[in-house]
Amino acid sequence: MAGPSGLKPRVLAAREKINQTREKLHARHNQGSPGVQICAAMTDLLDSTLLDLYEGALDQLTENIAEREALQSQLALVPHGGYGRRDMAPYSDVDLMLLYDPEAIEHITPLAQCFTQDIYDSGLKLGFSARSIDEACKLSLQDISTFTSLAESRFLQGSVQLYSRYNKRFRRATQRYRNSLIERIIKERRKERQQFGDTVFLLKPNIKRSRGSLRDLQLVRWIGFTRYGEADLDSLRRLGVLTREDSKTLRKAHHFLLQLRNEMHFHARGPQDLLTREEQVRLAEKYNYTSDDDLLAVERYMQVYFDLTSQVRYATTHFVNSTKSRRSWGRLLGPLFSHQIEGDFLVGPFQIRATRKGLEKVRNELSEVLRLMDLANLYDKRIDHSTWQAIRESMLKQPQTEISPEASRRFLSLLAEPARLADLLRRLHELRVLECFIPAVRNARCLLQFNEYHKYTVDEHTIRAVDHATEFLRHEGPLGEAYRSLEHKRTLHLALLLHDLGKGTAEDHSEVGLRIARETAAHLQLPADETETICFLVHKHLTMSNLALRHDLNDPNIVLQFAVEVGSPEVLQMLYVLTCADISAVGPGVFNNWKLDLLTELYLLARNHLTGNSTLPGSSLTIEQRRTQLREQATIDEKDRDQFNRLVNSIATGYLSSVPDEQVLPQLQALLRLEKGEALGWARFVPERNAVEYTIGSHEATMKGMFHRLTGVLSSQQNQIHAAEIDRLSDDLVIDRFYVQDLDFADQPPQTRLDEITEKLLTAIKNPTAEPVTFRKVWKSSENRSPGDLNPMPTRIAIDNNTAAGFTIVNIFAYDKMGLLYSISRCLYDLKLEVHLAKITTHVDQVVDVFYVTDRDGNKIESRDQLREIREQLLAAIKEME
Amino acid sequence: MKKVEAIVRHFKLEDVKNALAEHGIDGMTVSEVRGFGRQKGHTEMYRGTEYTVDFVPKVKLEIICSDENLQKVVDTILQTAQTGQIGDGKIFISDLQDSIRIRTGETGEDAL
Repeated sequence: MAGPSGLKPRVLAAREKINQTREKLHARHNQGSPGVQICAAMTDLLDSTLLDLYEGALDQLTENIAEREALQSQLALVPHGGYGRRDMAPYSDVDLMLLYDPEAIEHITPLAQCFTQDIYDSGLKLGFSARSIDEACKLSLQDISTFTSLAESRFLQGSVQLYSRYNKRFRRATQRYRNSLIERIIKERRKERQQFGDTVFLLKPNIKRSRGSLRDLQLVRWIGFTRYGEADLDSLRRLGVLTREDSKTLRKAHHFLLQLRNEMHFHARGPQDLLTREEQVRLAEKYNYTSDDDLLAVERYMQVYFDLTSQVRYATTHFVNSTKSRRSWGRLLGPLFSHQIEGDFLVGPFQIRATRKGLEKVRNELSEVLRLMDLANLYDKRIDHSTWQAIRESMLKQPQTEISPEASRRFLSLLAEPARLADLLRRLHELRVLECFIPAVRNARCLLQFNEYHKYTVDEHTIRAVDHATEFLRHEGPLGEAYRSLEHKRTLHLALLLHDLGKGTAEDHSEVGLRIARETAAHLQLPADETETICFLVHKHLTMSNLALRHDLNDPNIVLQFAVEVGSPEVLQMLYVLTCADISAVGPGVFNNWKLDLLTELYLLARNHLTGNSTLPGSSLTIEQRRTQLREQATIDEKDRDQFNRLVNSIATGYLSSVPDEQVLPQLQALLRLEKGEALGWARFVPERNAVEYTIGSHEATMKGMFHRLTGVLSSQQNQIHAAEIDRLSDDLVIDRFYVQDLDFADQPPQTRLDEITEKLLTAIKNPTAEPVTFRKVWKSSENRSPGDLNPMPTRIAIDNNTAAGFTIVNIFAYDKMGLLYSISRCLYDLKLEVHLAKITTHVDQVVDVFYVTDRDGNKIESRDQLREIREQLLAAIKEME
Repeated sequence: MKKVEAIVRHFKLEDVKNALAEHGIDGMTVSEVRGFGRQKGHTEMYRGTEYTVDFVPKVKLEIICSDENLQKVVDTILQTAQTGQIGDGKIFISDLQDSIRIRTGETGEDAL
């Protein structure tokens, strides 16, 4: 008999019942019924509906009651998967197995056909199978997802005897193959997680499959069933394999996630498991979360979600690990391998744990927690769960606001090592220890960044940024080189941890970040110079990407201004790595070669300003090709050949790119014959720079204070110095070059004038005692500037001890004035510093002076007091000129 | 209908986008691309080792427009993306058979 739509009455009735009950449940859900109850009611509804349909199908296919009962005694209806677990969300699939005795095989096809058709027609989504006990067990051993689904089997109708035979067989097979089954379950879950995002902190999580979601709760059940024959959380707790704390967490998450899933299904009127951004906003509103200036409602709501799922992840991971290590041989051999370390920590074959005395220590002293971490890293062991929980509990109960100098020292030394740093930080974060050292981390925990750009929460993003930076260790090219050669990696790592912590307020996060950086540095008792660097990096962490990705790098002013702002090569190097790591940590695929190329270009250009190195601009030859050319062209005695080759190999790009090709050879050949104590001089007018170039060649031994004397001569002769470079060559030879504007001549000065000045320069070198300079107090260059003219950038001094191996680099940024370089070089001379390399560049009015200096004995300047004195004296000398 | 593909200097993107928007063209696809034409890659010195930049970073814009809008689009890009130096980029124009808006199934210029 068929109804008006061609459907059987029992199917129509089933459909009606499902829809009506679902509506009723929707209403109950909206009144706040717990998710578990709704799911149980949903399961009951399906049970009764399926029974009706099943009875109907049996009636249809059998002649009389005796035949029907005979058939029924050879069959059993077995719900499995989520349906077996009674976790049915409103639109979940129905997983059903028809278990049969092989003797009934001839009836199975017609019955299955009729029954499944009815189920489909009543509007349910069905996963159906008809299997004998043999088939079911065999298949579940072959296919792990069949296994996990059947692990949730229960009996619904038919022969109890048949079902219990199946159940026994299934459990026996499970026991027999449990180790390999567990391994496969874990592997399968890992695969799924990778597909759906391997972190809890995805901004569009799938509440069924992502990390920390319902699937992780199921994972505990499946492994519990496989290992201990119990899937239920309470039973696992009673067996002592799940701690009370963890089972509470998991139960809480289970309730939360089921309710959330019901809500999503009801709203979408379908099996919606993806927590999309629209859905997040809707849920936040529905559950009465409110927005304010600092955080959006949706950000608050998702913080709750992430917090819970990360707890699930944590508890699940521990449970999974503990089943792995409970293998019998491990338990047997464990005591043999255990050995004690300083009485506080025990290292076993798989894990490291604190003794009772040690437990007391880790609860109360952060430095002991860090020592434990250190040891775990050293021995490559997991930290024992009870130790772990003891630490976490005590951190939650009484967060430590004060840190001892010892703890701070340990924390900072951990930060200096790139190996496994991100893992370590993540663990410290989970333990809530990280926030003892960096209190602002607390606000960033699970903080959603509600935009289309970021893929992770703020805390996850910052730890990932550290992770990416440490991976640059193996990067080829300038990025890897920049990271590898950083001497103070902890400064960079700390800046990375801090860079985004200013998020979550209405104010610009770079500004808030700056304050946080300052507070954190004080909290950790960092030295003043490191504090300054970290504050700069955090405050300006967006500057480099903004410039590189949006501005014209061919514009020398952009690059120069950037270089001036950054100040020192080392800070530039850190900012470069930080920028790349920050972009990488936004999400997969965001950092690409396109961005890397642009950032690298800006880095190299700015670096040239700050280190005084330059490339061969405008030349098609590389420096090696040019050197080879020079070696081939030179006509010199064989006895001088070696020395000449050394000389050629030592010349720098700056010299080659500035001095015209036809003058390079004569100058080098003349240098070969230079006697000790003598000096050579050349002068020429360079029309394209509208400047005179003075080149002085001498021996380094003659050099004491030479730079200072030369600038003195030039300044006293009314020559304004635009650029100066010192190049050190092989065999103690030195070339100084000055580009000057002769203020006594409007255009090109006559040759006699050049000769006169060259002679004065050479005299000044040869007679070091002669008191050189007297200035004419006429400042021609400054007359067109009114006194109140605003300086675009203030005078700055940056000192860098880490970029050059044997030298301290002093960078001076100032406004150009007549005699400025002389004052600076005089000051350096008075400070008893030796200038080994100098690069003076002037762009319009901005001067960038780079000096590579040592003390008179050729050593770097290391003492803090001395560095401070240099800075103060230089600032005073420059200020005096204003 | 025409498809206009323009390869321009990366820092010109904002200018071009804004200029096009002023002329009522507000739909486009942008991708970060690397390539070279006459402006070859270059070699940089870095700590004594050479570091070769094979490809130059550029931005590619794809704009689909009606035949009558074509000239406007091309002129706007030309005016805003030009610096006069080698490496300003190129514009490619091709005929387009059809376009379909996935949501509604509209076709032709209605789908633009």
